[in-house]
Amino acid sequence: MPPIRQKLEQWVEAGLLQPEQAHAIAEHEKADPRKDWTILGIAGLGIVAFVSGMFSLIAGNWDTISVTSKIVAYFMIQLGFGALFLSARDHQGIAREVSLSCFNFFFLCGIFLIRQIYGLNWEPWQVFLFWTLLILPPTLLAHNRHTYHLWVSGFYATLVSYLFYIRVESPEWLPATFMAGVGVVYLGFAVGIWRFNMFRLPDGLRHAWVAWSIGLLVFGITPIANALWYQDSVRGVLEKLPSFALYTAIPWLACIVAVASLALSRPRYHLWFRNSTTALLVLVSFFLCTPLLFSIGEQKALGCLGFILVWAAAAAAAGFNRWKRLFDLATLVIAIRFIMVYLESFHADAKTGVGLMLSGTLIFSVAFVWHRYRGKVEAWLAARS
Amino acid sequence: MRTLFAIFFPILVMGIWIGQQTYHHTYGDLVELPVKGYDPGDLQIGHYLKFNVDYGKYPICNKRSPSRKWRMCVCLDIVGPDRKAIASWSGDCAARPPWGCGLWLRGYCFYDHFVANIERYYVPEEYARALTVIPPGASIRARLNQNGTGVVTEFLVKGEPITEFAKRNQAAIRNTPEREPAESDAQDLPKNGEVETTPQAENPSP
Repeated sequence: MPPIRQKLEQWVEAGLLQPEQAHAIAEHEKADPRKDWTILGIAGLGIVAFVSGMFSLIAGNWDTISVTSKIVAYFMIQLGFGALFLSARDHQGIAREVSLSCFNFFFLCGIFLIRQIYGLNWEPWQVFLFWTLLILPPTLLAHNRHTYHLWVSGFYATLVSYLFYIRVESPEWLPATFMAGVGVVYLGFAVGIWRFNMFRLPDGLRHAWVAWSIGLLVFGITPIANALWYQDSVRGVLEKLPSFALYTAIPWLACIVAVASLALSRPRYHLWFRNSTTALLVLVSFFLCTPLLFSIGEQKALGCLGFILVWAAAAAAAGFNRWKRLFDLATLVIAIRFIMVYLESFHADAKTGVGLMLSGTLIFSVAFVWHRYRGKVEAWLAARS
Repeated sequence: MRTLFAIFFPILVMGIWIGQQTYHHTYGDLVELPVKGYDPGDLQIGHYLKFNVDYGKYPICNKRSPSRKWRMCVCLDIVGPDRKAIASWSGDCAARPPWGCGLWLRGYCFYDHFVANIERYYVPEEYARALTVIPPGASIRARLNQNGTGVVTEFLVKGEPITEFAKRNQAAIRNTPEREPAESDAQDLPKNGEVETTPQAENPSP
């Protein structure tokens, strides 16, 4: 029995749907040929088998194919996907979006092809940069959010691979470049949150910028910043590299731009969302730069407090904006961090029988509180917005 | 109009880039550089043969540097009857001599070793067995452009393309009768007169 039928029966039993409505929905789903996933699956299998055969044939004879043939074949495929997109551009649907995605993807294939043919030793960041710049104009034509997410992820892949490249090239410049990278993440947020009518980007691209920037700030920068509060060695950074103080200004300046973008956008974001997101942005900057700028030494307690505050701000912003998954995740991270604080503080006692019992009680209590009360907090936050 | 621009502009840029690479590959200044062995355990990665370029006796990377890896430019001179290129100057790229440095490479020093991103060459995987070491007398032909970037166009073994050398060597290996493992490689390969163990690479350990 198809899953939709099972669901409909459950809903009828629960009194959410009338049997006639359930029957009508089932008939509608059955009548819609676009939803016939069995046919699509078999057709997809055939296409995958055909493409795999074609690839193995080409790979098996790769050395015997001339350079000119490879380049001509590449351009034919690229133009073919371009023509396919142009023929489907006025329609909404999967053909338009798939042809555009393939069109974008084949530019990456082309870059790798030329890299192999002419033995170019491009660094990964150079490949990503060239590709993301190349596919920006077609990406702006997309009507699906995945293409925008792919483009923004490509942009940040360029940034991260460049940081790794710099690390190998010159370890002394890594901290400064890292700070500039953090500034770029803030500016990415500013671009995404900007809602003036002039220079307005497609909504999908704006959302992708916001999602990736917030993701990098809370998942990437915050753990790094928390680790810095534990590191005794970071105290010498300013002495080793005096100009580093200048570079710590970059996240702050970018943070100001991001906050201004949030505050000045038209139409305005609601007050609570604005305030909680501003708190998140400022806290990350403070949390990252403070141990580098001031010789405060090892401050585990302050580091932990900062970490929890950043994630609390993320949870609040998620709650005010009804981002349920982010809210659940943020509150879960806070709960886990509480448990870690206990284990860090009493790790010696935790090995004893009583210590294990206390640890178990704490973990159980935290899990209970998280499970029982997070829904209420979320509802309260949503009501405020 | 916007849609047409979005589709054809990247194709145009890609075409210009490919044209530029093809031009560089075909019409850049041609130089021949001797090559020497690399770590034999790391000789062929996938389809690529890895090696070190021998720039002669000029001490390219002996200057003090705060880091283990730093940018460097090298001027090349063509010398000797076999017209091989060797290094005649090295230093900061901005300080490159305005004359006498028509052929030059941009790269970086990794400890005492100069890397110009020309240290690999595509070889079909089927020849992997015949190319377990860099043969003596090996060299590469590279095209250099005006920005100091090089592209390897050919890998030669005593003037012969490496694929020809590998084919002959592979045939020789195939025709050799099976013997006890202790005698096999060490005695058979030198008989072909081509493959010998090269000196170990000056690959610095970090």
